[in-house]
Amino acid sequence: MSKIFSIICILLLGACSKPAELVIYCSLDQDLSEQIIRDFEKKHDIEINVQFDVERNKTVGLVSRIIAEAKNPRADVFWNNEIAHTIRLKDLGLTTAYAPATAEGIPAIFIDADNHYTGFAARARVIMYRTDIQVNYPKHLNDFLNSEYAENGVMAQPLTGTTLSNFAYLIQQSSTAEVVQWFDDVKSAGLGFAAGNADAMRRVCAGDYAWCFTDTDDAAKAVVNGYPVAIHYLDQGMGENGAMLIPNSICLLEGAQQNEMAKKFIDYVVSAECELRLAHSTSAQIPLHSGITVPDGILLPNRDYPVLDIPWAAVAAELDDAASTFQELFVR
Amino acid sequence: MTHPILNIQQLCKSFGEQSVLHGLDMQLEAGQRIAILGESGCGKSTLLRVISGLEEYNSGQVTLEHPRRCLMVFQDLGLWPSHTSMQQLIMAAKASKIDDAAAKAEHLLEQLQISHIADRKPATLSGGEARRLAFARVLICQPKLILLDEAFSSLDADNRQQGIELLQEVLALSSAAVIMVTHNQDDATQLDFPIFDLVGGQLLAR
Amino acid sequence: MMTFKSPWAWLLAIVSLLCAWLPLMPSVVAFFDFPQWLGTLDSRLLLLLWRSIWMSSAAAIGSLILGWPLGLFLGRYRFPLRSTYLLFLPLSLMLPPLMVAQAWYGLTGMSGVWASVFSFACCYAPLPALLVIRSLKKQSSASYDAARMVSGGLGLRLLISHTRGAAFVGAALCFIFSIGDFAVPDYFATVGDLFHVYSSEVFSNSRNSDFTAGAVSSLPLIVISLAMLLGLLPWLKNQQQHTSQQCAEPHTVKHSMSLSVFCLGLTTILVFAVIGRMYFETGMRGPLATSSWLQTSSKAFSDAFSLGRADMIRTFQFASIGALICMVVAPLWAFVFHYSSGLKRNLLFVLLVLPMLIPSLSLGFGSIVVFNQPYLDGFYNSIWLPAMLIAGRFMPIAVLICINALGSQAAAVDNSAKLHGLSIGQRVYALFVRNNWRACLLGGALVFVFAMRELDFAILLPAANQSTAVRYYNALHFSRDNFVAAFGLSICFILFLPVMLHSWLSKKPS
Repeated sequence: MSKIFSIICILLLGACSKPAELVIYCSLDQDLSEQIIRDFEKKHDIEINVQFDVERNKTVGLVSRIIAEAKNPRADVFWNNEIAHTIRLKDLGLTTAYAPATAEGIPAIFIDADNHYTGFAARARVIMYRTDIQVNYPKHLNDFLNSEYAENGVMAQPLTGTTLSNFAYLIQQSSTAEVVQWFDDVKSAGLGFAAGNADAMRRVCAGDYAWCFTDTDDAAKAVVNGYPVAIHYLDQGMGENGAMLIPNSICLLEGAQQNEMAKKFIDYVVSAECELRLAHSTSAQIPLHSGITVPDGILLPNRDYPVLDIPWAAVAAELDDAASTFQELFVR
Repeated sequence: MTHPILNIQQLCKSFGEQSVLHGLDMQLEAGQRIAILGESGCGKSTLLRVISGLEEYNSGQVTLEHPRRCLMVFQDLGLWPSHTSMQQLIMAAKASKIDDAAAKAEHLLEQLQISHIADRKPATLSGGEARRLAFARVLICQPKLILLDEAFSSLDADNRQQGIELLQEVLALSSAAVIMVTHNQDDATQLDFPIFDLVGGQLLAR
Repeated sequence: MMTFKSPWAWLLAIVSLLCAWLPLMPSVVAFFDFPQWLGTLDSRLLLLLWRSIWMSSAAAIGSLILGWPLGLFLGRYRFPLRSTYLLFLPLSLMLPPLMVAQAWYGLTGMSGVWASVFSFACCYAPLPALLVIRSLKKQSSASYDAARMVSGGLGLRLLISHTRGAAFVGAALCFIFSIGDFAVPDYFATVGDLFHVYSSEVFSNSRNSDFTAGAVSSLPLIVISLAMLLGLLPWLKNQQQHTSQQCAEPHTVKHSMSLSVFCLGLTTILVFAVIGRMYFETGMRGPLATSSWLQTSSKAFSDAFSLGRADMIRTFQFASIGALICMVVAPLWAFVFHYSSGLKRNLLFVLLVLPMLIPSLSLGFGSIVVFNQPYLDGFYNSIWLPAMLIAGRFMPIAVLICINALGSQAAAVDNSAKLHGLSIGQRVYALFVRNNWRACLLGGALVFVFAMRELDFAILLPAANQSTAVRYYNALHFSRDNFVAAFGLSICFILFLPVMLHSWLSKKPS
């Protein structure tokens, strides 16, 4: 009996925890972000409670959690691996303004006009294609409608993540009916669909398809692993030319307990040094600060390829309806 | 006339559509000892379970003067597998708010000649020892009414005789009333208990 | 039997309220939207539902095919290496379903719907096997020997009829766990042809801020699972036949080597193949690698330990506390069910199992709604919150095992205790738990294993977010295959260690 009592005491003692000095909700891959966060923790000698999401939730888990906790906010900072859901939080009044000084050099199109969020370290929506065979890969989104391209290609279903954001943008630019028709047409043309961007990438690496529509971070993994692939920055413009960039975004949450430390953390993450660190990581995130010397293999927006000016606020407003539409279209 | 310790009026008990006890009346005085005979399935055990409160009944009235002092010795004895003999007696005594439980337990084990099993658990006891322990556990609670449910049914002739003798020994130590349920008339005859037959859900005196 | 005058009834009610019913409340309220949701039920959803039903049914049948013979042979016959197979059988239950899926994909390249079915069957085959073995321990020796003396075939038929109920309970549990699982079908859809199951729809609906949409859309799955569980209750009651007769022991047979080889085949499918493949994957290298298999494997285990150590400790803490709560409360529940009947029993059963059937995300969001209060800061951030949700969600497993154990106990044991005036606490803990501690421990151990695998609500709770399941899943998704394999194996080994030690120590001569 005394042994059982001792075990219970140990468990109870272990159950107690002192509150952390900073609470961060982070949707960027744990592998990429954890070390960055821990380095900040060491540098400032504080304890950080970081909460991660799982990939299958594609951001939404933590966003939903922030919304559910709105009456008694827990987190100080939200580091998102995309931007549309951050805007959603702003629209719900769950963020507060902060303009980090280290964001100087990031183009204004990636920073909220009211300073509620800052975009940094982006991914581009690209075509990854095999270089060891002759491949007809699309240069523009409408090339997908041509079976000459489509029957050798694969893309992720637009149910979540950057693919959903991508097609929510297209809905915002045209209409739901047109985008749905587009998907019907590309399916008829022979385009394949995978569960996610990483899966599409793996299919190409495995030789099932000749090209895929994915993100630069997934394509970078294929390159690092030695597969014979290259990247083309897909033009998605209707009228103007440009590839789509989806940046990380970071915001200070309303009701943050640790305001000052949270601001320091935001300064640290959006800094050029951090962007460079993410550029050097396996996901090869694209720095948005001007004047950064990037590693080989990373092409810079506007310098190396044109970039679309995405009205992210409007895209964010389309997200929920787009998700429902695509859920009905694809989940069957 | 003394106040009956058990009064049953128009007791009815059925299991689904099958009526087992049908308008049964019965009174038992303090210290009175009876045997109830009946064929298998006639409701003898059910009657004991209803009296003890282990089973609900459909209608009628069952009044026990000392409900907490009504105890039963089951056919398979119902000993508590993980407790030693002494522990079983002490637990039972304390639950019945008997003072000096340990001393009384020790005394009772001696009276029933099973002191040697005080520290043993039921799985290590012989049939006879287990039966003595089951009786001891009932006696230590100073019962007013003891119910015996087919106490010797599973025994062969020799052991049955020993069982009867044990019961006589036990009953000599107590002034409790007894209801013994059996399908063997010889058991009742040997113990010199008045016999009642349970027939058609009713109790008939011989 | 237990009225609200008893402090134990209050304990049961308070624990159940805090651990299960309060976090459930927001979703239960949303169930009143179900008629509205029914209006949206279309051919797409019905097709998804049908697919989930037939896939889970096939998985249940598969678990029967694999688990029933294994349980029969291990439980009744003696043959070479029997004790080894018995030792490793529980390990198969500790392997996370995703790990099994990953291993079989690596071994065979299988993908798609049938790969999901096969993986589920392998994952949950130990349930019918273990329940069959338990059932055989209560078979009357006299009746079995009498049948054997007539013919071996009759003996076998008797075995099959005696264990049929146990096997079907195991298969039913396989069905229930499979139909609500999203991760395994999602995995096979990513590595092969795309397909969706109904739980994908539920998951998608659970991920937005109106999480109750997920709970509402999960109602068909809840109703189907409830119907199945309620159907099991009469069997459980029938199984509660204490026999005072001697129970049959395992015995030798002719062709014992063939039996051993057959069981080796089944155990290989369930355990050894998966473990072997995972171990091989710890050292797998890509085309540009310069290190050897051994170096890669060592680094993978080293990374698993250094990166995952804190997650493991944290997960062990809340899983242990959750399991402990279940071990204390489940016997009380078992007594309540034992002495209840009819509608009351069925209603209580529904209340007990609902937290297990509702989507995990709904439970997580519900706990945020209820417990995220300024005056509950310390509790909300502590591991008590996930521990309580674990206890509430997986309590039915521990309760079912206790119900079975209570039924196996002679009725006279508790009846005599009741007549002697022993309190509920004494009857439950001093008598029942003391005599059936193995069953209580098994219930707690199963709760612990399921807690280790819990992913969805772990993400939502501060103290559970950095857990083994989250790290494992993220690593799996990002193709850190070496790390995934090493981390998964490390967790299984740590879980299995007490089982191995117990087995080794109990064989040592005293």
